[in-house]
Amino acid sequence: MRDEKQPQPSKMKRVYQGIHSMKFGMVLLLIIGVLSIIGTILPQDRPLSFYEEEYNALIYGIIETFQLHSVYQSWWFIALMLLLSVNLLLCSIIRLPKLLKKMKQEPSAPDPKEKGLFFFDAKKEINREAVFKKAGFSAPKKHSTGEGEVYYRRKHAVGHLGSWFTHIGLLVIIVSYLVGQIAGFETFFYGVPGVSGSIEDTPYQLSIEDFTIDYREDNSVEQYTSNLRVYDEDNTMIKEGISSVNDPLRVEGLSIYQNGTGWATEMHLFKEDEPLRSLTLYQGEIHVDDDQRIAIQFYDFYPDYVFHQGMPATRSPYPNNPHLLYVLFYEGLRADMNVVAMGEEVVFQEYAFRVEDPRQFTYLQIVRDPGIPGALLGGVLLIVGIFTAFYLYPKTLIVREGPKGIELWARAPRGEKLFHSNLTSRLKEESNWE
Amino acid sequence: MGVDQSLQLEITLFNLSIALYLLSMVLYLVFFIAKKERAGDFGSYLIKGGFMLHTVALGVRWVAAGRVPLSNQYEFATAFAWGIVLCFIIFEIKFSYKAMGTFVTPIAFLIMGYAAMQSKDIRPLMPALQSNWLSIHVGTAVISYGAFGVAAGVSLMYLLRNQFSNSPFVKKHLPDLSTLDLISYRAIALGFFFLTLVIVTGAIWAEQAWARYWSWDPKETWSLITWIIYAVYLHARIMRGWQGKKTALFSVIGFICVLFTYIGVNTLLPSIHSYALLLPFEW
Repeated sequence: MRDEKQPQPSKMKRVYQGIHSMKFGMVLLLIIGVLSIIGTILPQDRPLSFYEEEYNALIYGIIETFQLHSVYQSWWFIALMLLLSVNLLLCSIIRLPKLLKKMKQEPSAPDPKEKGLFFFDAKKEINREAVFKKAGFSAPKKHSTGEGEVYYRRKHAVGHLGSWFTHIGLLVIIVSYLVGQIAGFETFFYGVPGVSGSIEDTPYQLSIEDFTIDYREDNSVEQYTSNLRVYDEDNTMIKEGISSVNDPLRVEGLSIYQNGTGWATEMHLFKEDEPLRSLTLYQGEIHVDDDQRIAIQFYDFYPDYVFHQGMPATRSPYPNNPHLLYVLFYEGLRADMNVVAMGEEVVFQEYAFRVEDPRQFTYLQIVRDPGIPGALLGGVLLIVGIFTAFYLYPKTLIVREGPKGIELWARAPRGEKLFHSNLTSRLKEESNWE
Repeated sequence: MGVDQSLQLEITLFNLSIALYLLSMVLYLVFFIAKKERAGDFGSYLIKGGFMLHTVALGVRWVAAGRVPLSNQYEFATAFAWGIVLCFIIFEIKFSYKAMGTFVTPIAFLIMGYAAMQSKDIRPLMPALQSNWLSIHVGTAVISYGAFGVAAGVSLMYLLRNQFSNSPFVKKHLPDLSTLDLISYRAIALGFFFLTLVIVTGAIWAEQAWARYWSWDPKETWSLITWIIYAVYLHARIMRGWQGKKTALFSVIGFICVLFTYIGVNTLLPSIHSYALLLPFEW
């Protein structure tokens, strides 16, 4: 990024200069930072009705108009990110030739106009090679001028590119993120062992072979593991493996994550003593049946049920005394809510149901994000760039030998003071210099 | 040695290191206010002694827990203070300005105080935290936050030196503005490099554990905001009209963001980093 002023540029040129200027980039960064705060305070990605209920009409209007319920996907946030990308791209393109020129350039004689140049000391006689070595430089190069001989050596020329790599890294990350948002997808799949089905928006089938939870002695969870098989459209198995927390199953650009778990039971529904439906009911689900006359919601589950302080609770995660908390809806109205044991029958009007065979199901998240390799590359560029910019700053050591004596000059545009103190400590023991 | 005994030893070492940090802070204050050079020397010795005990305390906890002790509020707070003291010692040796201690040791002491108020129980890790990335991600955060703590202390010195530039006392006891600016810059450069590592390693870990390398979780977002503040500081420093007082203020604001990212987000905002509930199901 740059901060230069040209004499009387045209309006278009001023706009162009503004867009790629460092000041514009900084202002954009600050605006993005400040507006990001909104998304950390205001609940995100809820239905608009939530905000309508929670906030007054004025605030709701602001939320709806500026898409504050989904800050990071809003048009203005994406526009700000695109503007920042343009700023980074333009300033990177404009700066590169100049930086490469600086890198290749081997300035020899000290030029008093140059930034970061300083006079270090003067002597009558020195051991030139030893001085360069002691100061941490390779053997000097020689350059003859009208005023005498100049010996010089540069170091860390690549440091000129540090901030450029940083800006490119940031640009690559932003672009990769946007690619992931546009071209990526996410879906979920859940079931008890034995369940299989197609993965939404893909030609693949997923089969849950097994699901286990490892507990520690204190009943805390050590790990959740799903054994999975993935089949292609010809029903040929293309991958078999496990997905556990921190170790997703990767197949054909998809990543299958062990995301959650819950309880499921077999439910048998009867009407006037005749079987109406048998199905697997998962925790959180509502089963609606018989032309919406009856609905049963699996509200909660207590594997080791105990009635404690007036509330249902569980003593352990193990199914020693499994009970299910259900909510029953009859003709659209909530009619009953209670805890039921496995095998116990619940009767309401002409309906009856019972639940049995409790098992834990696995909840899988399936993601494809084509932006990941780019984001990783951008991250590496960012780290390399910052390290290069801060710790490999370019410096030059110059010895000028002329009729006036021997002068030691040094040049470090980004670390003049540090280089000076570094030279002082390195050269203080150099007898031919001190 | 059993876990309980190890924990007791760790608590004793932790308390001793707090005591030494407190004494060191007092001595640095005496050095600064009463112009006692010896007090500054003793302050410097004591903080190094406290740092050694603190390091042993972290080591004992590491062994007792059987994992890197960087996974709850107490463990990160004590490591955060350790990072500040480590960076302070490095910068004190490198730049030889004892007055820095007067401004940096209170920050370290306050963080230690916060750690002392947290539960010191050793609990087994939830599955999502059982990753080698935890050590790298949080370990780099310790160094980053530590360096920013030092930078904030030095920037406060800068603001003081700038505000009372005519005071002979301030002139005598505080380095000149360009030196303070340089120290603050070097500390922020170190912190910024490590903060970038924190964010990148966190993203890699998040992709493995939570399916998204960036999901705008409040902790992530506040880390980004902190990164932006320091990025603006680093750019502003080379812009005309922005050097000096304004950049020193940015450094202080940046550290307030660091503290909010660490404490505020965990306590005030819902986040997957609070490790409370990830899904509607039990997890």
